[in-house]
Amino acid sequence: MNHSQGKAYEELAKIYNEKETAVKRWESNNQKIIGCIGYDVPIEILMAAGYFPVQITGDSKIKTPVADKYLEIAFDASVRAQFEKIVSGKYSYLDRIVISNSSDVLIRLYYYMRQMRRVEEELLPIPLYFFDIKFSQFRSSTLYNRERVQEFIEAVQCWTGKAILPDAMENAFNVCNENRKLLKQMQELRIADEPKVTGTEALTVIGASLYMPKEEHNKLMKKFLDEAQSAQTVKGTRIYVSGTAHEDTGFYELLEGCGVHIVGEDHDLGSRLFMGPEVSPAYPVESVTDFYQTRFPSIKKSHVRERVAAVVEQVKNTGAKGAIYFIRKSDDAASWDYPSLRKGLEAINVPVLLLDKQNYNLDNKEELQNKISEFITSISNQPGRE
Amino acid sequence: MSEEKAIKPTENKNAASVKRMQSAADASQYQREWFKDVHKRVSEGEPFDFVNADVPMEILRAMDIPFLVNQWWASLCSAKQMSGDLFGLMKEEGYPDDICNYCSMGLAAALDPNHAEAAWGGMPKPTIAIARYACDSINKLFELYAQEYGIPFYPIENTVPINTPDNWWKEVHYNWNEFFEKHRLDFMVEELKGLIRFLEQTTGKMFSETKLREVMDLINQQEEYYQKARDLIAKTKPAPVGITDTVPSVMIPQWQRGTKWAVESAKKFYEEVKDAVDKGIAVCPNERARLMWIGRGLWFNLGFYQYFEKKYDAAFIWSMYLGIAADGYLRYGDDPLRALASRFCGMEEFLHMPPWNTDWFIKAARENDIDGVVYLVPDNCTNAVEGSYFIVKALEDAGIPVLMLRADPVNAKKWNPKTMTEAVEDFLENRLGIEPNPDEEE
Ligand code: SF4
Ligand code: SF4
Repeated sequence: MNHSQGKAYEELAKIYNEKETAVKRWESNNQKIIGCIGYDVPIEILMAAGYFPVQITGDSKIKTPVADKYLEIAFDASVRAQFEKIVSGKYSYLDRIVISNSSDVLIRLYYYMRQMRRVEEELLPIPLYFFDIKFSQFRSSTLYNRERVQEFIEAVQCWTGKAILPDAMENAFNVCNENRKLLKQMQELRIADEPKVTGTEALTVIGASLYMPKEEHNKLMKKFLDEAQSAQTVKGTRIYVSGTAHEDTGFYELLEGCGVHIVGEDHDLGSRLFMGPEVSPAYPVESVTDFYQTRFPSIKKSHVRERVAAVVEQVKNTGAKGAIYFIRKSDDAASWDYPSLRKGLEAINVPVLLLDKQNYNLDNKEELQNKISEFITSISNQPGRE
Repeated sequence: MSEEKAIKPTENKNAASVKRMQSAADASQYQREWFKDVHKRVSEGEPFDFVNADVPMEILRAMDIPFLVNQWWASLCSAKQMSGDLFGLMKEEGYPDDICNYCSMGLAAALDPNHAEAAWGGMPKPTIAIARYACDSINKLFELYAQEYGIPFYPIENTVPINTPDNWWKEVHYNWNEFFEKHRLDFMVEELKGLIRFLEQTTGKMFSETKLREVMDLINQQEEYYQKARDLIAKTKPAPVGITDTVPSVMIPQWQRGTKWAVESAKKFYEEVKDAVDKGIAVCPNERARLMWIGRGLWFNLGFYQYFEKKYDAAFIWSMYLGIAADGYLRYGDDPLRALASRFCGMEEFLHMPPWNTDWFIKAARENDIDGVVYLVPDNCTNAVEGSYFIVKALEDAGIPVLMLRADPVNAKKWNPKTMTEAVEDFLENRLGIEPNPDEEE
């Protein structure tokens, strides 16, 4: 699909495509940089302490010889790639790495990296921190999480040797709230009757926020939202994408090439990143806990029932005619949800296409294209918005 | 969740020609009787819980609530060759049939309880399902299982250890309260209190602190026998028994821990080991190599191990099953609930994560005067990964040769007892320098 946006989008796309190297643009800010693994690290707190948090993501195009040596076959390909990038020095500018308990394999990754620092520290000189957040929807877990958030604040203050002042906390929280608000506005443009933003563009814009200071992202976002008003209307069958997170736009472009308009998704590099309550500087520990524990259910950590309910609700909101459930190899947990999710969506007349056990590098594009086109044709007579 | 994870029965000429210890035979017998009794109690209307292996089942024991362990059930279904049918059911429902097979056997059986009847009369209808958030899949599997039966699912949270203190096996028996991070123990205790109240409320049975203490005491008595047996095996040359003897004797009583029967069974096991030592009975009278087996055991193919005993006088004398029974379970102290919480705070890491497992393996290798280690790397479960690189490095750095057997992820057919046997032979001959016995050479 040929769809274009204005200058702000071009800027964002450049950053998104450069990923970790884009970070250098803000060198003059003299901020220490923290790498985050897992999408549940409370960045508000890092920002309040003056850090520049960036996300560590994988790369399906690289070879992973070191990961092959140190990690297991059972580890998800993206996690292997993240590890490879770290040990090969791609992130040598990082002051520290914070890993959140966002999936089982990330816990293992933490253990492995910790052990690596014990026995072969030269390969991994960057200090690690593990943020042990719980996702179960229970009060007892909230209390545990609050303690972990408090502990995290104390650790961060210890790293900088300075207390986080209330003003700084307030500022960071406001910036993050605004960022999420702007991304929500972008989402509105995506699902509008006359959509102005494609799925690829949304993925790009959301992803860019992970490799640049949020203040800068907010500025560009405002311009982007302005410019997008006058973009041409996006055409295509409205499809919701669920399942494994997409670290680049490859899959989205493939879908769009088949006449799809991707109206939403539930993965961490898409809408899940900004869906959730506001954080309040008046109750920093409590509201940060609530945001990370109670926002849109995580694919890995939620109960089936919670996730199905949340996705069905989203699909209704976005007016999708169909859904595509994409599961990458080794992303096993997601596949247990599938039968229930399919039932839930079929109950609202939204058919689902399952793309299971997909390779990280999407080396079966043609096969995927055929399946997707067939699916799109099969649902084209469905009622619903185009 | 792989405590009992075992390879499916294979066609191997060498298989199942094992003399078993009496304690093992008794345990199998007991298990049948026990399961019959569970059926009877459930049919009389008693509550019955389906739990995952890492759930503190001591709570249920103390409340006299019958329960079934997911992994034990799976081993039963595998042994009965029913897994194929059961996974067919999974596939029909749209579930994957090729991942987490061991842990999903309960769900598979729940999809059609009639199908599962072949396994000792099937699974009685449970009244509650309990699991811990130990991996990304298990809570979903239990939730779905509970949904199939229309019963509640009670999940227990799990925490991640940040500190890595040394020598856990010396610390956890008495010093557990200091050894484990306070916030982890506190949280686990809260989780257990929640479970207890829930069970009291739903079963009408009151939890008794006194009974829990008794259960914890019985478990200590049981594990003390395992300690003594482990020590005897470690220091006796040639070794009196091998892992094909010890594992079947230990596994069932471990599921039944906290009962008087389990104590008796452990005692009998220890006495059998002692008797073998006293009589000078040995696995390999001309013992030329003492081996350690790390990883999932090939318990349906015990002949695999015996082959090397005969051909090379190489005895597999250590596996984690007796090892963890001796080192991982004992908890002395005045607060049984907190002590119980501490039992479950570290078990996975001790077995599966460096530095705990690597340190422990080295200690065990030294204690047993091990010549070489055969390590079967788990293939597709992220939860049971063990840090294979670090295990091999730690042991080799300590001067202990390791053979790492990695399942072929692409071609399972290539991976069979034959290739495995060849790899071990090569290891024995070329790394440990052990010639085959002349009369055993093909
Ligand atoms: S500790 Fe390990 S072996 Fe035991 S049940 Fe858990 S995963 Fe399985
Ligand atoms: S990931 Fe491993 S422990 Fe978890 S359910 Fe699957 S096989 Fe079991």
